[in-house]
Amino acid sequence: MPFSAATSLVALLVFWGLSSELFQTDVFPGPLVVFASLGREAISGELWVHLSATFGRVLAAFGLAWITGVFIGVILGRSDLLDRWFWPWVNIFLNMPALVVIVICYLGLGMTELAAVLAVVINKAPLIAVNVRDGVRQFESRYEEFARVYELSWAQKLRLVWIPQLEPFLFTALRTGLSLTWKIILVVELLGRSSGIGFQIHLYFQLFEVDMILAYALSFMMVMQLIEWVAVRPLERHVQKWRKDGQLV
Amino acid sequence: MSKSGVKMVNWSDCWLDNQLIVEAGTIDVSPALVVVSGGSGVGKTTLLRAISRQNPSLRPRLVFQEPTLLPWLTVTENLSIVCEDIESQTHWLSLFDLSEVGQLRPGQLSLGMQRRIAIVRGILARPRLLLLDEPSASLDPANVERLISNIRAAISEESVPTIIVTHSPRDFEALKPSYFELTGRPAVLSQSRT
Repeated sequence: MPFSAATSLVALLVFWGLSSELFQTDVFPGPLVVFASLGREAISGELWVHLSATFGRVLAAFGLAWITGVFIGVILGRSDLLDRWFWPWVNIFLNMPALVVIVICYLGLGMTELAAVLAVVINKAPLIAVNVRDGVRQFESRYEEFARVYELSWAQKLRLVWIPQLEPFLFTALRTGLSLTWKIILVVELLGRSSGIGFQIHLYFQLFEVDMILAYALSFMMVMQLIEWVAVRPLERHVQKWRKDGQLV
Repeated sequence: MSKSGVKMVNWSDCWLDNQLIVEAGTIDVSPALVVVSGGSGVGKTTLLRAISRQNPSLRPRLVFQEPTLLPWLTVTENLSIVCEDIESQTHWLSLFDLSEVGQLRPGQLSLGMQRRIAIVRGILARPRLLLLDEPSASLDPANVERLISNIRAAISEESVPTIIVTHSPRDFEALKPSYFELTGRPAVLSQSRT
């Protein structure tokens, strides 16, 4: 983590602590109280059970949403006919409230893990599809012509011409999709699962234990931040490397 | 005559948006280098595209005016798309005075260098007909001179029949090509002096 980011996070903690001291209310505990609760849950093992449940759902839901979204986006991006027909469908799903999809999935498939994951996939796949469709539609015709004239195989076109042009769009879909997925997963868990961060938040909401609510929310935010540092940022650097090389001259 | 044994290249009428742009014709490429000149918008690039599409048996390789090197790959990786033989790559890069740029990406090179690498890529694809679209456009005189000397080296080494379309045919005088001119609407190809 760069020094400036660390300093900024420490400043945020200080600001949080001072604000909490200032308001002196049960609904706004300070960082020390929240981190103490987090530590207790971690030591008891409860935290890891729920954290891993949510993490597993995020991975499954996002993975499926990403594959579905990329598939739909590529098809709509390449075919004007299919785009004309199915773009309104994607748009409708894009604007469908997450809560409606979650409730319908639970009603249709019961309070199951499949329903939970499917609800997120239906919610997120359109967003990824839109990103990828835009990327495919911006493919440069000169590279297509090069691929045709030099008789590149389908696999070569995919690896050398299409994926590199799509990388920034895939990457945006990854970053925005991942952060939105886990937020929806919490709602899914809150409404119909018996494990996960969302379930715990619901439980402690009923018990009015705000420090525990914040502790569990914070735990997953920390996990997501960790993913950002160890996976997303390095991937971003890799994807953008050639663009930076191009700016050297 | 060229090593590849190709003498005549044909094309049929070239239409674009229901308009006849270039009339059907034949061109004798046995002198190895043919330069086709013509004003802007007359149909020079359309002609090259037609020749490229309609003569698949000659494995024509079109080197575009915009170099179309893939910017996310290094020069060597770009060349490897058409020829994985590193020795050939090194030989041609050195012949084109580009020995030092193998590990660089196109964005790090000047337009002139990118054009010359694109020509190397075209040659490495082992065509029986090489088509160059405005290779000297937007280059300063020093770069044009280097380009001409590179093309001369390529012709003497490989002797692939090459058609160059350009709006400045005098750039290629030193190569003693056979000159043609594309004129009219729809455009017709005819032999010319320069």
